[in-house]
Amino acid sequence: TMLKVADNSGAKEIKCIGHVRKSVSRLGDIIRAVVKSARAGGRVSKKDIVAAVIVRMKGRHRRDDGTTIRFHENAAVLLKRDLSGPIATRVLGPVARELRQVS
Amino acid sequence: QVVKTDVCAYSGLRIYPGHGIFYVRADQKSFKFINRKSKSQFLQRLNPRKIAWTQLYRRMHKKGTMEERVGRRGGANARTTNKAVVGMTLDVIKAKRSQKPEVRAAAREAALREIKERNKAKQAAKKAEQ
Repeated sequence: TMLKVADNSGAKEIKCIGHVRKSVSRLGDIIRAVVKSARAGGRVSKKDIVAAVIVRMKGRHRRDDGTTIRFHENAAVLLKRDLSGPIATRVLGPVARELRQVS
Repeated sequence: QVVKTDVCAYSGLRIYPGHGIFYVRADQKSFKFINRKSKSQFLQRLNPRKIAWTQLYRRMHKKGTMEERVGRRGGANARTTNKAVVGMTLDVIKAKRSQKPEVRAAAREAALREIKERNKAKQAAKKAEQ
């Protein structure tokens, strides 16, 4: 799946190429991805393989209270290689509440 | 126990816990919909003011039980209560209320007569001075 990058790391779009310990990734899950397009002079460049956490998802995500949440796009934030934190300094756009537990 | 409900962003109906879809748009605006019919029409950009079954339309065209509700609200607001006023305690007011009208009228007449007599006496005194 192609995901937009919701941070200022320099990458614009990434493509999901694998999940971490899961067959399907949902909101707040970590994925392996390859950078498909990037801004010149950013912290990552095209063809880099990165880890990312999903912050927005078009598919329905069911919360514990039974309501469903849905965003209008798929988006992720790039993570450092050891998953200790984000590569970028800013996260853009709305972010799901599920991310709190991850960070 | 009060159940916390939300209002559907499109139809205006109540959303009880465990129901509904929360939709977040790119500009960070979020909308709650009661069902996918509401969400679908919202995403099709259909104006809820022109769709007959939404609350917005019904409110605009004065359909259903809206007037009833307004009436009841007005009634609740118009309720009067008895309170103590400056020189009168609640007991005094109650006692006056429970008196018979004739008794009150007689008392009022007596008071008026007394005042008139007093005034007459005053005028007479003035004339006598002149």
